[in-house]
Amino acid sequence: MSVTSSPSSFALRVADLRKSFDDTPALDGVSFDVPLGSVFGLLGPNGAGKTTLFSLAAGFLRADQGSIEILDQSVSRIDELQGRMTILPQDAAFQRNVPIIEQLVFLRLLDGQERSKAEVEVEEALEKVGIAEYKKRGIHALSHGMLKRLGIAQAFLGEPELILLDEPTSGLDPQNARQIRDLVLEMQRERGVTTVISSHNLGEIQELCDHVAILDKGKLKAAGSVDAVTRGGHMLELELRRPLTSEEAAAVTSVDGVGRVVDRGPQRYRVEFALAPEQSVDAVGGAILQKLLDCGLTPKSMREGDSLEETFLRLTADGADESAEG
Amino acid sequence: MQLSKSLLIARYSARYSVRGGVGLVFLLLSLTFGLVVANSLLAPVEMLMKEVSASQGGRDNPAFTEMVLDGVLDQAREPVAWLLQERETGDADVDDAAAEAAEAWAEYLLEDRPAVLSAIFMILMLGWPLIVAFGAFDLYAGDISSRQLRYQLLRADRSSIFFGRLFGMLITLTLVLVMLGVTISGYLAIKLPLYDGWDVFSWTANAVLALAVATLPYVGVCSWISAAIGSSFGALTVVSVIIGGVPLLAMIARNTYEPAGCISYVLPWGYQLNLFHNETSEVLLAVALCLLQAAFYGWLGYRTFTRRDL
Repeated sequence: MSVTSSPSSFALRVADLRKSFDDTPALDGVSFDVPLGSVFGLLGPNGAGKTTLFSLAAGFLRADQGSIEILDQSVSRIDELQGRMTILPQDAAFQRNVPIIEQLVFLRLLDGQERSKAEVEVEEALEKVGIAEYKKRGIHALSHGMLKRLGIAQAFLGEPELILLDEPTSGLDPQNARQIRDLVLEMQRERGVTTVISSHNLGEIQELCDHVAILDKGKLKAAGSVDAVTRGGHMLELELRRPLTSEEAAAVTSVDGVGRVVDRGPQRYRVEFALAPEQSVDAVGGAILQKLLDCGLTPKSMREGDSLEETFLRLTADGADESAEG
Repeated sequence: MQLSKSLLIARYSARYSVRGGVGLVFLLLSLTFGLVVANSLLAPVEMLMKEVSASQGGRDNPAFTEMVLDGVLDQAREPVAWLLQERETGDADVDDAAAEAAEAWAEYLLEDRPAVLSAIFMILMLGWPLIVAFGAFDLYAGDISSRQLRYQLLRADRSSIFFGRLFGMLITLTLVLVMLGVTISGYLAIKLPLYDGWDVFSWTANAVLALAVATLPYVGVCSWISAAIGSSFGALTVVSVIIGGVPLLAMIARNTYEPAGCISYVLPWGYQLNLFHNETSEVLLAVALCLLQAAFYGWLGYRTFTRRDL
């Protein structure tokens, strides 16, 4: 998974990272890159090492071996990244006896902001995540979801170039989760902010992220663009309104560039490509669609590659291993 | 370390340190301890004043103040002599010289300085380290265990956080000492106007400064233990055992093997009363030792804090 690139192409580079807790490996030789300006999803079952990786990247923990580079700076010199990177840690608490606004203003003052401007910024951030009315209260007044939003407001403060969000939408209702996803995309679109998100919500990651890494039991199972990881360009997933007859399946298989058609359950099929070098996915996909329409079938859905969920389940099944680049 | 961030953290820590339950308990404990010590020594003086006043037909008698001061001297002499007592070495010349030096020191504390204040501050000096342990044990431990520091770690370097919190704690402890000093000297000036106001003020200021200097090594120990043990309760236990255990261990050890009593010098216990000494050289030596020990334990704390997982 080695990538040769100019130093400024990556917001985060992880190389051969190892970390153990009491002889139990939490990360075991993990390497991947996060492209600058991307929204990067970090996936893995519980205990996969996602939070450990975030903590190592933020300098909370010290790696046993390997290196992390953030914005071209080694994490061992994380002091020089102040103000350029923020994080929503999964399990960090706010102070119990200090008003919320004071805590966030203090963090902005540490960034070097003036108090008056810091207060305005904090109010705006709290407004964005919908808890501005609690600004003068302590955290005891906030529910679990509100605390999560407070942590997100803290991560969005200032002008970070890289934001690490550890399970930002867990515990949030659908409306607030949507709001957070929109904020992440808005920051990427308007300011080119790179965001690394860990989540168990695979649909959310597929919707939000252009790149992913999948961890399992401390090992990297796959990393790269979502297309590459989900084998986009290699197959089409079809969902039809009725099952294909054997003649119709044969007709689809006969399309030039199609290797085989796999029946995956009621009205769902996987069309695996066997593309010649000069053939494009679009052309073969168009021909398949045309063949289906000729058979009187309008697909309910047509998706290039696996769903992220299927990829995740396949890769995190015992013994599975795969790498991708893109 | 970035000084501006350290000062910001220090101010923030000092401002909010007494808001939490532990902070409030510390404040109450320190004030209660100080006032109880002061009261235990001032109450007999009040009684004495009443007795003298009754026997001399009121406070207008010119001999009143002098008689009360003589009585106070008698009362304060015993605790001060006990505090300054030197153990005999068996060498007559050495013992004689030590006794002579102790006598000069006692005279300085009892006659050159307001005797009641001397006794109060010397007893405070013996209890204050334990109060410091209770105030400073949670310098880092609680926030390490709750991971509160993680919100600051990407905004300030570890050195700034370490020293900022340390300065904040020292500011808080100094303010508490100043409050104690003002309360005790104010009470003495109002209720028992025996001494010259300037004498009371200057000796109180001197004593508060001495207590503040003696505080430094103990806070250094707290910073080390608190950074090493990421649990508030664990840190409190270990800090209390170390700070309270050193003089106890020294006392026990001295009874079995005299030189083992030097264990008390691991912390300022062995020399902290010298901060009230009549000889300037002794005071300066005690100050230097305090600073040296504070630097050593503080360095251990710094090393631990900057290297550990947070």
